[in-house]
Amino acid sequence: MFRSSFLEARLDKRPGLRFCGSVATPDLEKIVERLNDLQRRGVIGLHAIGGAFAFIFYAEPIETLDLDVFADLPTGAGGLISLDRLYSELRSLGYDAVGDAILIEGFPVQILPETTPLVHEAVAEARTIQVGKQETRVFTPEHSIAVALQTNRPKDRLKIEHLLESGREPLDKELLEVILQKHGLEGRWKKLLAGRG
Amino acid sequence: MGWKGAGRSSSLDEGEPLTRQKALERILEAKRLRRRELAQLPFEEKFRMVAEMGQLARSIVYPSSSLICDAISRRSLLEFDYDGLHRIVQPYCHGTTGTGRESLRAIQIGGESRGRLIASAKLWIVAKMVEVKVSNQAFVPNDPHYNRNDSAMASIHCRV
Repeated sequence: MFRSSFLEARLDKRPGLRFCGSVATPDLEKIVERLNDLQRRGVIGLHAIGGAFAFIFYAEPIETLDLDVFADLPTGAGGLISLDRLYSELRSLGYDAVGDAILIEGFPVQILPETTPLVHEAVAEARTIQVGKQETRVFTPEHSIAVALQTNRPKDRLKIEHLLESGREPLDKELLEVILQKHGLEGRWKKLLAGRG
Repeated sequence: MGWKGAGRSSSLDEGEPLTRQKALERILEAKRLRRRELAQLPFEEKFRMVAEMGQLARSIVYPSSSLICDAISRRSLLEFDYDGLHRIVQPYCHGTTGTGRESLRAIQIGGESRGRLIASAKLWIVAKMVEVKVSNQAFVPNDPHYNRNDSAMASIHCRV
């Protein structure tokens, strides 16, 4: 159970805000197990963790509100991506939709389609990792940077900064260059590096 | 005279005077080391830390809650930005879910959406709502699936 008397005490000094008590911490292994089960049953295709949690895998933890999972999703009539089966399967397991995410084992998970060739490549070439007894896949650091540069919101650029500052392993610079060149992102990368001084 | 707290490095000789610049460098180096140490933690551990950070943020009852309850009591549509998209919803029930997230049960009836709009009530995390506004437009709460005792809510602050 999570409870922080230190933080509660701090909140007491902030009028208008109040703390709603302790809650159970979600379990990543169970979330991964559920996603693997969906893939085994063909509800989703090959999938990989991207977004903030891919950066967190390689660097220090940063705050984020949900787990982004990019997946090869089935298409319905007319070639449109269909989330109907995914949502109905998850509802039958008791998981509720929260905004654009689904609350799986108490944590919001966004299951996102492979919207660009770069994201498709990032999923295909993701690294296999172990979470407890479960295996899952996570974007490589090089693909994480490229995808963040592609979306290029301020928060995406911050994630890259974060990885560059606290990454636990050196980047494969040659691989990164190849990816950035292939997807036309070298300009954004150079601009970001220039901004760092 | 040395700087208090800055001389924890093992390479620092006791009593060695530090310039302000050197002290700052040592503090920054200690921070970098700490960040790298955190980066080495197992993924599950980091996930737990992030989830707990988020739970705190989500456990805060935001001032926008009063706007939400105001919209519910007046049966007014609510407008806000969520995940970068503008949403117009019929608000039904506001409370805290079993996982400690302050949430709103509402049906999106207008604005923007990543997929097609589905006329069923979804949960929206209050912490992710930006620019919350109560609309002048009223609605008639006639969702046949609406359950006043919303099972997703551990506690209910206000509802239709």
